[in-house]
Amino acid sequence: MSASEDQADVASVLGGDVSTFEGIVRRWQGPLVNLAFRFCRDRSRAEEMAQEAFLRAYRALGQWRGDAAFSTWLFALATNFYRTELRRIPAGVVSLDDIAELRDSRAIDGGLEDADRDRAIRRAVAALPAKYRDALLLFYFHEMDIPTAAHSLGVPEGTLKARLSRGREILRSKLAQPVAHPRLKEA
Amino acid sequence: MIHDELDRILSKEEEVVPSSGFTASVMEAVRREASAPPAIPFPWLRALPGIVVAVLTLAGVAVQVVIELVRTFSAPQAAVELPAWFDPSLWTSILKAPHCVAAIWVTLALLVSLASLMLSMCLTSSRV
Repeated sequence: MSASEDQADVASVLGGDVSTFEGIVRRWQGPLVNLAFRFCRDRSRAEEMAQEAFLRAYRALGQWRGDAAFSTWLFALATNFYRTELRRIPAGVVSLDDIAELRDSRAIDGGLEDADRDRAIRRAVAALPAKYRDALLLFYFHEMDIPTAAHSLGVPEGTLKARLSRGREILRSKLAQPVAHPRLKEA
Repeated sequence: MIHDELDRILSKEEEVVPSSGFTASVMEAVRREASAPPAIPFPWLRALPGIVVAVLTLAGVAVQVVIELVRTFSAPQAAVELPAWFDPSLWTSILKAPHCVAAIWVTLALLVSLASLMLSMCLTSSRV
């Protein structure tokens, strides 16, 4: 994905050629839909959210000053919208206590299988308080790049690190058994 | 839970591929947005006469209230030693005066109108 392509397309759209916005959509549809999916865990809703994010990006295109990468600006805009959208209509997640109950009931049958365990962890992340959930989602979405994730969330890096630490702590307390010792019950 | 394990699990997220019509759908929405007429600006020119009348009325009411107050204060109050505005009966008489009651209601109505105008302007400006 080329920054110069983004820059050229933005200039063209601002110059009145709306069709060049398609280039931006094609380049960034994957990341934006995937980011939305991480927030809502629903493919159909993820596409709707990503579409609205693109529309908002189109409306606000003139506000991108070029001092940061276009992708950084786009992710910050999309993240902000996704978080607002999730506050408006929360994703269908179970509570952290329900996650703990799921863990306990499945452990009786011999512990969680890897796929189930991974799914339980993702559900546990989704059930975290929003600020810790968002920190973890953005951190892993940006491949553990703290500065980029912090920029997307619009918080200082120190704040993001603190939220990551606290979020992991909560996860650890809720999911310690099956993740740390996934196969103990089988032995 | 070990950090590395959490990192490993949360890093390997399943990849969601946008549906084939996604780009077309976004571009349709963008084109619709682009072809939509621009937001209607607040009609200041048309509203100006009304605003001027409202301001003049408000000023007139304020002047009327001041005149009423001055007239009341300037009335002979020989028996009263305290400042005139300390006398509760003065305020009662002011509030009971027909002109003053009307003036208060008119002022209140104008203030409510002004507040609703400001509120609607705030709401329309924040929609952008």
